[in-house]
Amino acid sequence: MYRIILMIGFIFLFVGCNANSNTDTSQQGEKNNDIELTEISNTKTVDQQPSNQAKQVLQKYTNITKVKAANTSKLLLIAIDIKHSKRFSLKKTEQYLAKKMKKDFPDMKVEFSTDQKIVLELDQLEKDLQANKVSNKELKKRLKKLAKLKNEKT
Amino acid sequence: MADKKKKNLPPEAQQYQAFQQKRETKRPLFKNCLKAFFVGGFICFIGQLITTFYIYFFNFTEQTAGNPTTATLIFLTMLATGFGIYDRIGQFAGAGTTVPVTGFGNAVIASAIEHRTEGFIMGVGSSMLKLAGPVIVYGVFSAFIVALIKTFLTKWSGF
Amino acid sequence: MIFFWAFVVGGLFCVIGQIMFDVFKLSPAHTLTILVVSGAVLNGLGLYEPLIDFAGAGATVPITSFGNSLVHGAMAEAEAHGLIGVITGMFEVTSSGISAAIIFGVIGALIFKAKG
Repeated sequence: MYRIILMIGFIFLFVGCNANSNTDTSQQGEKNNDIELTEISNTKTVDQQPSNQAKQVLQKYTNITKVKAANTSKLLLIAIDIKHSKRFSLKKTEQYLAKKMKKDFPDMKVEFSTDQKIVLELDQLEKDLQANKVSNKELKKRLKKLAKLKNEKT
Repeated sequence: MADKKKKNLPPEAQQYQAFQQKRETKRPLFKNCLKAFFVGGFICFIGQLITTFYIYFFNFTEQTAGNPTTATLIFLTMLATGFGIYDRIGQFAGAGTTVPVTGFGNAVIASAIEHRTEGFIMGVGSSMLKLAGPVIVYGVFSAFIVALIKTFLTKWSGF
Repeated sequence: MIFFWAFVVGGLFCVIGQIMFDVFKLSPAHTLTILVVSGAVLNGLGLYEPLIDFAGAGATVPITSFGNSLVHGAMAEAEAHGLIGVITGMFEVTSSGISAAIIFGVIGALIFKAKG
């Protein structure tokens, strides 16, 4: 009897986790003030207008805690971090937002990531851009490297 | 299963079994679970530390940092097993040291060290995976079944 | 935050293992085998990946992740090469655990002597 109850307990535990993961994170709210985001001024070597625009859009989602983005004339790389309690549906959120971003920037190659590493590297890149330390060529190289890293499996 | 066995036994043996059941020390389930929780949780915590370390200081993403983390943990297990620390923690923690991947590593490494006296081919080579064998065999087989079903399902729903 | 959840989720996996030891009176080999198989099944149901996203090493360090990544590798290969990929892709992702255990096992046997 004892064993059967335990078994049922486990099944409920797993089912419970499943139900949790179905909650939709993509609801839009008012402007989110807790978000970590820096806009890069437009007078730098490379125009960061698309990145800033993407940040503006993503800012509206209340569950996003960090947005980092950088772009060249052809490639736009965006990385976000979301609230920890919403990480169960991380994959779904990523797919949803990546699709949306691709629709918003149809004439650019968009790479969208939720990976901690990409967030870190983009943060560094943004700081360097802000300080005007990055040339156009170097920016291209770094973004290309990050896009490759992002798509690496195993 | 236990009932079936009982019927075929002579009465003395049945008496003895009843006696044995009475005398058997009750395993303190709650306390054991608590120990397993804390030790197992601690091992996973170390794993997370190593993962974070690889993400911050090397070119690994969250996706790719899992493999080096496992390898590092098993390396640490080798040291702990070799110096006899792992067994001591294992006696205290029960499943807390068995369930993490370090338990798998310990099973392989401990039997490799133990059977060394029988030579490197017949001893180390053949006995190493004695304990870990079932895990690999049934892991691979069940993964095969699951992946097969999943592939068929996605194929059919795709058309 | 992820450290906390890694601790809790990893600990809970070990509690499940301990219950298998104490209540169901299973041997460690049985317990590990059941956990690996359930990891594979959980991946099949699509539950294990969200757990990894949520708990990090709390879900990748317990042996259940072994079954999970076996299925994961098989599925990835199956998508690229069709049905035969189920067999060829199986160790694509997981190999690190097994190869590390074997390599360090041999090294350990070279360095250390059995006690007692």
